[in-house]
Amino acid sequence: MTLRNALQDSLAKNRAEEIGNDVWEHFVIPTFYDKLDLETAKKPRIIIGGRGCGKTMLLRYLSHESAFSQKRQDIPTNVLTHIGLYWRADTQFCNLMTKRSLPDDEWETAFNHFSALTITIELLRSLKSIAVSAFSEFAESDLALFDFKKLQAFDTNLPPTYNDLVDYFESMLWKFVSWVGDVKKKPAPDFLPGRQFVLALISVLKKQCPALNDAIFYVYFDEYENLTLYQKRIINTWLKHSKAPLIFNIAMKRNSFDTKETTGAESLSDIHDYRQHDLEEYLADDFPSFAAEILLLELSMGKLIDQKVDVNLLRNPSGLSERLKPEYREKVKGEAQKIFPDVSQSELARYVITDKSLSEKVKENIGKALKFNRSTLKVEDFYDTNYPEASIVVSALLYRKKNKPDEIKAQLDLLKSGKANNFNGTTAWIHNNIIGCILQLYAPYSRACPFFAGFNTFCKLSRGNIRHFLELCHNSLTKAITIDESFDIPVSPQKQAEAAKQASTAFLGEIKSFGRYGEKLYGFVFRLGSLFDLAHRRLTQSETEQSHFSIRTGDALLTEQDNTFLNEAVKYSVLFVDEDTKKKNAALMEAEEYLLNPIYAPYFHISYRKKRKLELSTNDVICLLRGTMDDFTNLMRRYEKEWRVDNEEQPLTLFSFIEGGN
Amino acid sequence: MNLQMREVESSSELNLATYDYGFIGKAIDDRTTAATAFISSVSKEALQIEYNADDFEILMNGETFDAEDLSNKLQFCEGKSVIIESTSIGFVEIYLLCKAFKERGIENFCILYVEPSTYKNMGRSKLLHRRDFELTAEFPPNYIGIPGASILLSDRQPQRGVFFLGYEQQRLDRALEDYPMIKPGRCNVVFGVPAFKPGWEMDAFANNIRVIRDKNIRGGISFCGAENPKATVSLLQEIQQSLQTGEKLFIAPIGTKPNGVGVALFAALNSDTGLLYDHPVKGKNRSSKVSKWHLYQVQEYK
Repeated sequence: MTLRNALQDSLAKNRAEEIGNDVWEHFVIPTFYDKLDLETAKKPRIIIGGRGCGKTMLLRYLSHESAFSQKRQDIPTNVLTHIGLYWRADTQFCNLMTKRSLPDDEWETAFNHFSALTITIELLRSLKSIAVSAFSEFAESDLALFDFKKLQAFDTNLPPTYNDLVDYFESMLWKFVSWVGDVKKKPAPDFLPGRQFVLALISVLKKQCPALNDAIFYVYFDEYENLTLYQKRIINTWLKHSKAPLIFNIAMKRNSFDTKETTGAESLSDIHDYRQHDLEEYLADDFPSFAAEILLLELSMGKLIDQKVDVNLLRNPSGLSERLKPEYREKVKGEAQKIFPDVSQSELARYVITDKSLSEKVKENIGKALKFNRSTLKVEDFYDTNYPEASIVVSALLYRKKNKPDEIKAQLDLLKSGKANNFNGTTAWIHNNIIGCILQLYAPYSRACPFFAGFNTFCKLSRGNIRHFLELCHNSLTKAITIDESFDIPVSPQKQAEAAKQASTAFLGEIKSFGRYGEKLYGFVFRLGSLFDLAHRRLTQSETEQSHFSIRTGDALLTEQDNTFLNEAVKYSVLFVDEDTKKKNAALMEAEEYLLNPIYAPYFHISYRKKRKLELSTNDVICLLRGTMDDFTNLMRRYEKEWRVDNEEQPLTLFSFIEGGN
Repeated sequence: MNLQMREVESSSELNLATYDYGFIGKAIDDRTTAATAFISSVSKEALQIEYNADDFEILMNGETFDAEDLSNKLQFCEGKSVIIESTSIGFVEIYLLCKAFKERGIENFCILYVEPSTYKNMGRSKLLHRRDFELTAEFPPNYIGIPGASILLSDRQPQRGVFFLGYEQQRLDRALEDYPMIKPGRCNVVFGVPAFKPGWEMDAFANNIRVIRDKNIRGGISFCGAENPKATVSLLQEIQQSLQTGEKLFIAPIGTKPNGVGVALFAALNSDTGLLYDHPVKGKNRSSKVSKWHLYQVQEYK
């Protein structure tokens, strides 16, 4: 196997589904694991999280195939108090279970039956997982001892033995699928009463097998948001009535819990009926060290790079106390940084000054700005390779009305003589402007800017999305493969930045597949990204690094459909709503701040940092959401004029996608 | 089933006799306007048919009914000559018509397809990929099953998927994104080659290659003429014969319409085949002008 393929196997398999049902080996116990309170809490859990935050991976980890993984050498004795059953419904099939001239109550009964079949099959499979695992108190021979005759009260044809029962239920499921396809021509099967049947099955198991006496089964229902309304009500009902030995849990994307109704009179109520866990919120606290651990585990398992990591510590919940120690966290982050070193602000400036074309550009910009000011001062008065950062920000300062060239030069002289000055004093000209200026310098060349390199940068670009993080690492390491099949470690900032641009381009292309509005979301992101790019090209850099926006009331009002669209953008993590200013009232649009997912920043050559806000009127937002191409062109022209953008330079070329490595 | 195919430059060269019934869809661009007008002119009665995926209903000449009732409604077609205008009619309607014909014992019928001269590029200036074609206005929020062709996608049951691909890579991407239970190792992708026009196949390759690579689809790549439903049926028969014991077949017809016609003909005869479909809402004026005319004559359909 080539190194490239081995890398692909380790890091590109960054979705739970690609790993398979047993994720035990790949799962790093998240630092928030104790908050899930799996040991004691018997309340249902609602797990919220956007794409790529590890929701499915967690659910798969909690399910029987991972808990009783054959790769596990020792399994704790109390493990039977949590037997997880993973269920991800096929939404196109579930959608077929509506209307078609069948009364609603018949579909409800049918969905209950479908649930009973699915959960029963999964539950029977969990017994097999336990039996063949290292768990010593329940063996494969125990399966043959079960007698399910008692269940014939529900269906006289139910076979009494374990293996026959599994086959029977699988066959029942396929008969049911066939009936759903042709409800008018095929006779309806005898429907099982969903929860009642599953509870009866569990009761039979417990009575006949003392080892299962304390067993509690937890159903983990993934992608709940894709069910129809009546199906959600049924699942909500199961959730409301959850108690040992059968507890229902659901997982969904943000903004998706649209009904709390049950099939009865009472709706679900928070705290009383369930506990909600927002994985992204939990991850935000400690994403870098968690991301570093996952990276090191995968590299270690693939035997790709010899990094010091204790894989057993990562896989064991009891290792959490050690892993939460600050010195441990720093250590793992340090290991990741050895592979993907971060680039400091001064290093970024030095790259610019030592690069022939970029340094020429710096001089050219200073010259243009002096000409703009009709100043007699020379470029050399402001450009000094010993002061790269100051030299880079000078042109932006020169364009500002309140700064006179003489005054800027005087401040530069103070800097050079080591005296208090505006460049690095409290006015912080360098600190405030350097990144904006550097991005502006790189933009016309379509060259990846090392601002997008480094482990910490990758964490910020990923913003809690493990899949994005691993893809950034995967792309970078692929570029670092040498001709003699080894890795050139540390990966150079330029290669990392190119990898980030490549990943950004690929993830941008994925937007089209994001649900009903995928195509429109894609167009919206292009418009918004282009507007931010324009904002980054202000000659003055007066509002530097604008990559988020708020909405102020304009002449036009956002329609319900516009708000639905914005919600959809948040649901698919195309936009993030700032935590501190979460929407509290649908009418108060101005209270919200929307941040473009930072993973798209390298493509648009904009900052991933949340610095300055762009205030857009409702009219502008409507134009971004649904304006014609002409409307959008006019909006860009208006801002180009307002922001005094150097319109000689166009960072995006016709084939930007191709250049991005697509 | 026997399938005869004819390709001509213009409708007048088809020299068709009059049909008793012609099934047509809505005209949304030049070619569907030309095709529906032509079928109306060669049919004693033209029936407009439209499927509503959200309600599983068919609207035929002003009457709405369950899709499963189509066979009952088509009793009047028995012993008559019928033609389906497949350019304007959606994939699901074609499948349901084929299924109803099979159930009613209508073994001989014709299907018309008209090629476009060009497809509409996205009007987003230099900011978008040059291979983007604005073909679909919107998709429903979720994939929705089709009555008669249901499949329960599951990672517990061995399943073989066949994806016919066109320009819109997001349709393949979305299927694999929304249905992680689909095993990329057991998925074939099929490109329409030869394409309608030389070079068009490159757009389909370029647009889908990222998804094929990222999702690690490795069940095989096949090629099947973009305008050739007969080759489509043959390919599906081959794949069907190669299924492993217990393996179920599902097909995602998200490529060219003639490939979709082949899928519909095949699936209606093979009731154990599932269909995975995203019911796109077609954009207006998605193509322009009219190119070649195709007539597919279906015989002994049973």
